[in-house]
Amino acid sequence: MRRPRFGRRRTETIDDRLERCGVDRREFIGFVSRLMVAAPFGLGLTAAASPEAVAKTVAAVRRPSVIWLHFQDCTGCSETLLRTSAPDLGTLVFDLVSLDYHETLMAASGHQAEAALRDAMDQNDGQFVLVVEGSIPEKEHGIYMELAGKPALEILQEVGQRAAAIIAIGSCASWGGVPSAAPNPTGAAGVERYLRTKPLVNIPGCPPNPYVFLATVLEYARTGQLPELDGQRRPKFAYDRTIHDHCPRRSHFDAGEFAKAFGDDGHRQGWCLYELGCKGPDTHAPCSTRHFNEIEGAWPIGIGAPCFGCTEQHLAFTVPLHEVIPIHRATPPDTYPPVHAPAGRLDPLATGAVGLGLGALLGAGYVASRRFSNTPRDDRIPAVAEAADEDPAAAPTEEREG
Amino acid sequence: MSSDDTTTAGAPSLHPRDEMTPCPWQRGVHVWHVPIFTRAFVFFLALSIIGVGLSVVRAFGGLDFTGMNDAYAWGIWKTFNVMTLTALGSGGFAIGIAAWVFGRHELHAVMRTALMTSLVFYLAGLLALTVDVGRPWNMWHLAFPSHWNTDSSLLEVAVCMPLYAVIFLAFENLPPVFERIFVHASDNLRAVMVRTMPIIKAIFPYMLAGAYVLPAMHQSSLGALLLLAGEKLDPLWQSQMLPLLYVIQAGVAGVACVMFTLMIASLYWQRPIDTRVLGSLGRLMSQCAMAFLIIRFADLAWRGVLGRALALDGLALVFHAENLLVGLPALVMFRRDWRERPRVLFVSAIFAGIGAMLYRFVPTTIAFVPGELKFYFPTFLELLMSAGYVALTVVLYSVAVKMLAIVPGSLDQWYGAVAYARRRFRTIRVDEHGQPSRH
Repeated sequence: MRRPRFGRRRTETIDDRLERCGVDRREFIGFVSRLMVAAPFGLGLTAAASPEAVAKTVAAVRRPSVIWLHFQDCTGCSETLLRTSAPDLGTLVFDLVSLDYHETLMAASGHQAEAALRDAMDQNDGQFVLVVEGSIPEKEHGIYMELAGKPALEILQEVGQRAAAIIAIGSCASWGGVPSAAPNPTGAAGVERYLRTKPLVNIPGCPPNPYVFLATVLEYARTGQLPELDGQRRPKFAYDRTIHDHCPRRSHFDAGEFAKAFGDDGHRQGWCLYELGCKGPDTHAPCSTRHFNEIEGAWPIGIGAPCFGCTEQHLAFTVPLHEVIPIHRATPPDTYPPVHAPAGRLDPLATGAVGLGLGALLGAGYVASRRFSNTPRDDRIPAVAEAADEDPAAAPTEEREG
Repeated sequence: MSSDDTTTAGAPSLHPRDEMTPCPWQRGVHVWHVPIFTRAFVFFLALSIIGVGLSVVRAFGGLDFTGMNDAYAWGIWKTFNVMTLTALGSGGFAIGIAAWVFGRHELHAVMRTALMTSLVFYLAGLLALTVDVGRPWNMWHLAFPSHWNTDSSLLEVAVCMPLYAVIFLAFENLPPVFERIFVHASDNLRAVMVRTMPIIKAIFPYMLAGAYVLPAMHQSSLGALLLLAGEKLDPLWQSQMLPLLYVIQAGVAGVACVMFTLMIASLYWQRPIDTRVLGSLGRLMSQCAMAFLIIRFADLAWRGVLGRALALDGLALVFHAENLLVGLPALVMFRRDWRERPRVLFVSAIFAGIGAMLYRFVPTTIAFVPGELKFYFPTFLELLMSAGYVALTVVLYSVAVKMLAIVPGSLDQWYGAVAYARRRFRTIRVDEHGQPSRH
């Protein structure tokens, strides 16, 4: 695998950068251990056993050049990167990636900003990571959002075609999010609709966990490969199971203890929020194990608000906030593992026997059916009468029972 | 078929044979010209002996040779041999109700076949149930209400199914057995039987009533069991209507199985086929299937999961296969002229039978997901055991039809069978019409 060179201009590694900027080593190790929590498995980046070892891997990564485009959004996804509980963490984040263009964070404006975008693209042509935040309006030729006189759609095409990979951060960029809620006045849609050929990761969430974003972008910078994705192009290391599976309130669900109204006894005691409309059972997201802002319990269910399914297109902004959803799969994949759990397996002998048996039965049924007349009211003996005396045992009797 | 046939050429369109020609099927006739031990019979006998032998292994060795696990506690014996095959054995139930309750008297010609297929399928199902339950040596508890575990959700099925098979269904199958005993019996035994007959006749209606209530109970209970699975069952199948749908689908499967058995027996033992009776069976099957489909889709619409059926994933395709396999024969059997074509009847019976079996089989296996990482596929020995029980039904049925007057035939064949029996069994005491002789 060819290691991508991120930028001709900036080839320094994260280690070099941190050293040059005098970042506290302790701070960095703290960040790395949080990254390990956010991506506990499924990534080569965090596969090592200790934070120190992982820090070594991360430090060797060359800082990826990132261009960050805003479309129809609320800047919440950018905020989630900045709103860290430790004062220096926000700065550290920008030491990890080389953020070359970001409309709300850059000092420049007007023509200077345009020039910055052009420079960033020219200097890292085909090698930068494009992060898209917000949905893209397409109705009436995209006039609902224009930047420097060009509609959002055009900007996305122009920048996206020159990117090495695209990360659609937030639900808006993933499929349309809030702006696409019915009746979708601007015709908002996600990145996937317009740039199908580029490597693309969706990191839905409103907002998503910033560590999921960082883990994805650093993994890509390290190996040049995207992490394993699910059917909706979400990284599996974070979106492989539902909130319900690891919800801290799960025991109340299993015990049938539900809060019925906000502020009632059950709600005060931290009971399950399912009957208040919690979409946790159908929402694939890492929130229940990886909370926000490095604070334990800082996530919707943690503060007593039902999950509204922000990472799922069929739930968020579609199903009413307090509507109770049907549960299709109540049992998490690993509840109460038995001490002795023999896993079932596919036996070639058994499958072969089943296939042969079914095939023989179907064939026999077809052969038998050919012996019957297709003439209406033909009551004669079926056509094997000649063979009656010699060999009555030639055909099996009960063909269909297999 | 053969081109030299002229007998049906130019047949009038108004089906005059209903009045003019005697029907090919007039009464049950022994399969007298074939020995019990044929090659096919020996094959099935060997297979069933292997199956029963494996259940002895299971009784002493436990479930280790099966693929079952804690997530899939119901293996192939329960899902196929009990759930699916007892549906095939519901022919006696469905045809009995149609004939006795709804007055379709032409179906009495095939009643013995229906009852015998029901009996063999139920017996094989019961055997599978016995080896499948956790502690088969406690089965005798079922005979004593004081020993019942009234908290068990399986109680209804466990009590009702053996009761039906061993008492009611066996009772319904008595006439051909008594016939045989009577013509071979000594004078004393004959006298006893003559005296007993009024009693049997007197209780017969009550036994019939029981024989129609009990299957309705346990067939619906099999569906109700799945309600306990809750969300583990896909919403396309999980429904409050499951018990009703299970009873109706048992009717489809049972009638289809009887049609199939009749036609295969006619093919195999060279009997003419009676398209009038078979067409009537096809109509009955079609009505059950239509009722099933209407209720099923109304229920889906009521629960608002019709959209789930349109998602073309694997389970939705299985769902459509179920409906098509049952629905196409139902539509075909609606037309009178198609009900009279033997081949159409045969293929329709196979399709509807497979569809109905799928509906019994799928909710307990494919659509049943106890956990994402769990998996079950039967081992070869499990399959062998399961096939052994199916072979057992073939063995029992083929012995029954060779010894008793079960498979329908014409009066000519009956006289042939009587003449053969009078030559073969010197002690038999029947006249040339097959009636018990006085001397």
